[in-house]
Amino acid sequence: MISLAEADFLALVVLVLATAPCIYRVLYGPTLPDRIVAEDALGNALVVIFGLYAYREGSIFLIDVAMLLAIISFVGTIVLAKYLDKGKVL
Amino acid sequence: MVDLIETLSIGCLLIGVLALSLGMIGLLRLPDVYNRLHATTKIGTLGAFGVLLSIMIQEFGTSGLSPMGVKALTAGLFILLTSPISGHMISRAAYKMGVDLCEGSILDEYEGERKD
Repeated sequence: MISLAEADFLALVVLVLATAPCIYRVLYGPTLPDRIVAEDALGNALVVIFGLYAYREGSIFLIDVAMLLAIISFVGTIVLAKYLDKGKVL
Repeated sequence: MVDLIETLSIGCLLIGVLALSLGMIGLLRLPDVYNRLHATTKIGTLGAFGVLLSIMIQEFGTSGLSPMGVKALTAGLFILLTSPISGHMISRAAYKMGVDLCEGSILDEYEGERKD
């Protein structure tokens, strides 16, 4: 059985590789909502990557970055969806 | 006790990473916005929350109830709460904007609500 540190490292590698479809969809997505969906998924994946990296490094600051990125990513997605819906944000 | 924590955290990590990878494959392969949204919502709920819960369990095993574990769990719960909301708003905006359903769709219950 593999140890916890190795499992964390393997998970980090898989997660970084898994962001490639998001980047492809952001670049070549056929419509604008496709790109927003991909951006939302990329934000969620980055929160997880920052969390795992912070845990591996034992850094208390990077986990704050993960929390803040979760909040900012949600607000950005909501603002873009409102803009698509109404043509203005507020 | 240590074995239990190790098994639990590796199980949560495996479920989370699997859900995240499958969601990304779905984002790449599925034919239309609504299907892609159906795949990527799993990333937010099961994937992100699973991995961050695994971090919290590992941190609990090594150093008890520490700030890092609590912050990781907070970020996971926040994603768990907000990911369905953003998915719903994107799909509503896409439908009102006029993005069509894919070729093989057989039912559109929201038809007629579209903004002309």
